[in-house]
Amino acid sequence: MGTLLDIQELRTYFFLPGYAVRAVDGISFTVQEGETLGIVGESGCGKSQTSMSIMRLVPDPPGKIIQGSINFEGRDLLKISEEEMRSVRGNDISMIFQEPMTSLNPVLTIGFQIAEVLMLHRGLSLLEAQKEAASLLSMVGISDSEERLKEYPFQLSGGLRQRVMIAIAMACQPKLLIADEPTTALDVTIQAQILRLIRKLQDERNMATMFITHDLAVIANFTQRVIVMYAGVIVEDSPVLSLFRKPLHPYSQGLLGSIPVLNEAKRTDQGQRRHLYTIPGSLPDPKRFPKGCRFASRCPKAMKQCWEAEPELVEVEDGRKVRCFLYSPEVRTNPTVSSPEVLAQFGGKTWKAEVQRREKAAKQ
Amino acid sequence: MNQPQKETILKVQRLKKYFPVKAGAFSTKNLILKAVDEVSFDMYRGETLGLVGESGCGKTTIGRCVARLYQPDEGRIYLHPQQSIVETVDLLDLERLSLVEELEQTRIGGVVTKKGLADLQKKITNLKTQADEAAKTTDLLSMDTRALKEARKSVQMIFQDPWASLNPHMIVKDIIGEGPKEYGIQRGMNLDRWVMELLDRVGLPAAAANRYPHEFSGGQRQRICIARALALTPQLVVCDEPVSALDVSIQAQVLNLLISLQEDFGLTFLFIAHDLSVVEFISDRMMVMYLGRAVETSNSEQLYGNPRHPYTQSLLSAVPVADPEYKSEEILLEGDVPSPVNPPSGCTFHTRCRYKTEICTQVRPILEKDKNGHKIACHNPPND
Repeated sequence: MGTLLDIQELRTYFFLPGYAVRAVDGISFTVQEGETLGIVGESGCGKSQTSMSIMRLVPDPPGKIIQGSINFEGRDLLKISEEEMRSVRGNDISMIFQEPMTSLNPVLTIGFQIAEVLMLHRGLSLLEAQKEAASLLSMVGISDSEERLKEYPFQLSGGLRQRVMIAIAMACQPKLLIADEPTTALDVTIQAQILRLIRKLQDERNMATMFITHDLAVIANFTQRVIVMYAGVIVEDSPVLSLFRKPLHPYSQGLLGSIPVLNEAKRTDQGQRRHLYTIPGSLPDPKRFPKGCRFASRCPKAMKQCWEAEPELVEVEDGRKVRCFLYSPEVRTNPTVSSPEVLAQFGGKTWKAEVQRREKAAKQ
Repeated sequence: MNQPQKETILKVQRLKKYFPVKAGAFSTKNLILKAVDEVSFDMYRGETLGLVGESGCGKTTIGRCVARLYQPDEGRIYLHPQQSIVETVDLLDLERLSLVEELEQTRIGGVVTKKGLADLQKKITNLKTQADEAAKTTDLLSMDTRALKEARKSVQMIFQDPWASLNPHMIVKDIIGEGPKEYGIQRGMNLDRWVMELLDRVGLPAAAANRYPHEFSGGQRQRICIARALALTPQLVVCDEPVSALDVSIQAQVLNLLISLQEDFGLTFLFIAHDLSVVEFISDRMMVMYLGRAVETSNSEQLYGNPRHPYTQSLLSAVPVADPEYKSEEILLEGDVPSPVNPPSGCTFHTRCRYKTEICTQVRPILEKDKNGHKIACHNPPND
């Protein structure tokens, strides 16, 4: 198994009036061929922006990828031209989005939307593409596909729309499929159908999948390796079994502890209602991350050094990496970009002027 | 919690809520969407009843009917029901419903005279008035406006979306204090003190009182919604997906808060959610719905340990478990939920059911007692 995708020190910042939001702040990971990788984290932790950065779909302005490299089969996706990138999207890397209604064009038939991909990327004629589209639809489990091709997105249910999205994503047999919360908007029974479909297609085609979700149960059932993200950084990178058996990072521990488990006793022996474990507080403000570990203010095991420096992501066991001083004293070398000069270089003149204006106002 | 005598706080009987929907974009013809179709259930003081089902099964509609945000088409919702009244009204209602059926039959048959029809119609109206009169004191649906306003104090609601359910123009103090002010329970300094107490109770700082909703995060907003619901010291709180819009760690905080408030204030919760593990965690009893009908009710341990209805079985097996070593027997449901505008005949689940027989397509099953206090609506329950 070779390495398909290799991301090093990726940083995606958003330059909003007066400040920079550090959505993705220096993450490094790899995806192997045929692997299923899960990225889990709460909203605002940067998991979706990671996938958008890989596809180079970060809205610019205000978003900018300011550092890092994304190596896909030996090519740095951040260095190639927009033209080349277009041929990567869909051909090599495909994406399924959370809300199928907003990602399908409401005024075109689904048949045309699938055929469009085939015509653009594989150079098929409209007729051939239509035929291929029908077979793709039956592959994703939509019956009477010929008829369905003539329908519009609003005529389909949520589950069917997501199947159409999958058909579009699979049209050019990508090597990597990025699924960004593909089942969040769906009911559990439909979710089970869609997950099973993705797994089936993945097995058939030996395709690597990146599964981005906040649902730990989906991660547990579906992935081989998990990356836990918190406030723009990776806090733990581990095979799924060992993460669920013994989470290392206090945040992963808190996350796993705070989900209700089916069939667990809900009252103690004294008849008291059992409470869920909770992580106190909320996410740090992405405008200014604390100096030390980003989780320190919510961490039950925080020590003095956690407030002073940010730990490095270190391999502690075979194939397990964790960013925590409990396991390794190593300090992160370049935690974040805060130098005003570097930021201004990406933020542009108007952004810099706004920051200066606010600073002045604050001083007075 | 296992008191011998459970006090019924709410009794819902044969609740129906239909919505008219347009047949097509340019059509003038109306179709009827049966959002809730003859659902009955009881709620006991201090318990949490979980309502689960896929989207479009009518669970939110029931919640909104109970809070009287919708006017149901048929049925009774008794708050603090009295046995004698319920029985009297029930007799009248059943008689009326059989007459309504008779009316439908004769209309189709077309053998009666106009006068006969009018007579029947009159009889039905009479029975309706009689029943409403008898039920007036406790039935939320036939109360006069003044009594209803009084009753509304006892039933409050927490909504799903904390971004949409707080007025952006009002400061938190006014949002929470609006109810008590309206009812003239507290005013001035007392009201301020009560608001502060509530804020403290839901875990918000006192400084929050003078801020606007947009200054808070989702979890904090949901806490404001909870404080608002508690401001009138209700007995029943309808929680409509209170944690679905929140992140996992915040969700746990809010669930814990709801549990401790329930114990402190002696609240009864009608908890509506689609996340089965959340519902199981918080509920004492559960009701599973499918296409506007209740298919199974039971206490939650029973329901999870031994689901009886085929729909419940497949619903539970579809829930992913946060444990990579857990292998469940997957009973995959084929296809989508049929349209509630044109539901299948007989048992609405028969189109997706593995155990269907001839009778399922023709006769609608009723919710009846099964083993171990389960109630299921199924002609041939599996694993017998």
